[in-house]
Amino acid sequence: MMMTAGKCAICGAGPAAKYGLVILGHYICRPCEEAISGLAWDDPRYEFYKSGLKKIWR
Amino acid sequence: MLPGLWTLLAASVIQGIMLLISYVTQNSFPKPLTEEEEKYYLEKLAEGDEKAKEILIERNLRLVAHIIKKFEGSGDDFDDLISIGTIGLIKAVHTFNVKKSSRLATYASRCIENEILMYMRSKKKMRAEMSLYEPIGTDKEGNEIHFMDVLSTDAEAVAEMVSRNLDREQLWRKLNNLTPQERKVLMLRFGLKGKERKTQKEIAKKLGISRSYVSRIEKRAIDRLSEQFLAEA
Repeated sequence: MMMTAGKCAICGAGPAAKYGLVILGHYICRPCEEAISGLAWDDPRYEFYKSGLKKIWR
Repeated sequence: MLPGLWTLLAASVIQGIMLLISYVTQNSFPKPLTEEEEKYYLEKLAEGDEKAKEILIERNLRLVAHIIKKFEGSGDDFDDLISIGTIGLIKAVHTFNVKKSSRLATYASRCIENEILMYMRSKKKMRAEMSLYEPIGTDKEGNEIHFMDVLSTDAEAVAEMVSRNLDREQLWRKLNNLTPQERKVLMLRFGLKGKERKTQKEIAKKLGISRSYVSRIEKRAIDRLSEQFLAEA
């Protein structure tokens, strides 16, 4: 699978020393990954992460 | 609904379905892991191998696509469901405990479905929500009247009641993460949802299992609920 640009697909941060995840060739930085893993359904940031994750499926 | 909106909605659903079909037909999804592979990568993950985490997520993406098919026709945007399912999958890989569940795929399926259901519920709830402090008009002197001001009970009692109800809702949400058996035992044992409180012996008789087994299920369920509350805290 082709790796896309090194910026976080969600927040746009550049690849940091703290690794993160690569899903379907899209990089997700560690802070975003950690935020998603503890995200509550009523968290105001839910929409932000939901929209960001759409990019990995396109 | 306006014809234009129908067209937009239909286009969104069709686009989503096409996206899913293209993934399935082009076999774009990484292949699911075999039981041995899953075990291997879970061990690697436990050792702190970050790559193993990626593999466990990617190779279970097919599950997301499979599960969201159940929600076709719910009126929700297909792209949204895919994202929400992916959030559920990431949470599953982060919280999976080898000692408590046999297969990650089984646990992840539950997490993905739960994530979608909870999102739908919270969205539905938000639509009908109104803040206690919401202005609903003004009095003769032009002062703002809040919803809380017109309630017949005093303000502190209302706030306490709301807080208690929120705690209760939080508990119901967490109960959904338990197995049906664990949920049943807790509901009978603590008289939840208006049920009469029962002894372990009575529950054992009702469910056709031993009292000591009921005790173990109760302990496990309480431990799991405590873990969830602690994780949120």
